[in-house]
Amino acid sequence: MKRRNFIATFGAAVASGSAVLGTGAFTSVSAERSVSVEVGRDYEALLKLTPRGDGRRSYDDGGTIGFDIPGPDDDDYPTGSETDPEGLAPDSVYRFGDDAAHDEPGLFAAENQGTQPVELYSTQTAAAGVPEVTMYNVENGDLLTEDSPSEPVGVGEQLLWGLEIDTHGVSVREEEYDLTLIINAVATGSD
Amino acid sequence: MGTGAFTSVQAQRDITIQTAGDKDAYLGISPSSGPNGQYASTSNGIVSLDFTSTDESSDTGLNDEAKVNIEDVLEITNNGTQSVYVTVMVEDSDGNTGRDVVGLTEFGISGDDDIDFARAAGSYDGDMLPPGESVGMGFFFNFNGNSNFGDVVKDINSITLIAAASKDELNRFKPSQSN
Repeated sequence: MKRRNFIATFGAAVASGSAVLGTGAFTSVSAERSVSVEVGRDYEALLKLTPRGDGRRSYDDGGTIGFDIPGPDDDDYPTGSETDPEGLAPDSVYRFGDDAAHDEPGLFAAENQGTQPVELYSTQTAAAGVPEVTMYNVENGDLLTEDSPSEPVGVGEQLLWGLEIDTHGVSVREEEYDLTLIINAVATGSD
Repeated sequence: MGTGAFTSVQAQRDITIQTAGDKDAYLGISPSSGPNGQYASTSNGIVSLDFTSTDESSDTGLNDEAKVNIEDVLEITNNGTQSVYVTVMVEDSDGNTGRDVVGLTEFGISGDDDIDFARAAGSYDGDMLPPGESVGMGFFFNFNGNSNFGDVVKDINSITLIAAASKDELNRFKPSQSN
């Protein structure tokens, strides 16, 4: 009786797995999983994301990291000869490797709190005419994309990251651009 | 999840980006108020350069087969929060940079007495422009042999202005063949 139960359960699991594979949409399945990440606060999550430096370009947005470019405190720096950058100009490529105070390297940090090395890269929901944001390694300048992710980040290892923002084809407007940056961590060899 | 094992994580994070015209962006760019500002214009907040149209009445026509130095075309302002090196990268439609650009033996920029730019021609070095400071930027073209100014300028696909907070960043844009 127990044995039959076991087999039945096993069969159900396979069927369920086949159903997922049958959709052929692995990326959308993966996107669904991100909901479970959202509920964890970044400082205690498997991938620990923390803002770096003063200046408020990166900040703790109620448990998750958020970014504002320019930071609302950009006009407080540098002390004594404050500037007031109003935004990013079109047809340009910017790199923000630290916050406006330039008091420590990295705009944000990512630490692997899981049990396997992971490769990191960023993606963005496809849209025309909006700034294109990509994370990069502030140590070596490497831009991280799905085709060219980071070197494996070891368990317990923390690395520092910046954001590259490409404004080609972007129009100047009063209203800010609200975007979603997707930070991906994939266990080494899992794909 | 309790074991801490995972094969992939996607964290979606909000990013807000404000845009501005060239004049008020981190690297402020505007046509110079001097006579050579005529080679630059602003449209929809974006500055463009045009060395092919010249105003004869102001006696600034450009010469073929010559070294042409046009001072103070742009005013560059550092609206950022740290000092930056400033340089330019010239590129033709084949992706050549520096003096590999068709018909150019030299291309460079000129600053003013206080701030010298990282030279696209000569030593790839220069002074840092402090936050809040402005400086005039001129352009220098030296044509080889029989090249015609108009043809060379038309072959130039883009002139990219570069501001970099460190030598490492600056060197990312160094022309393959610096001269």
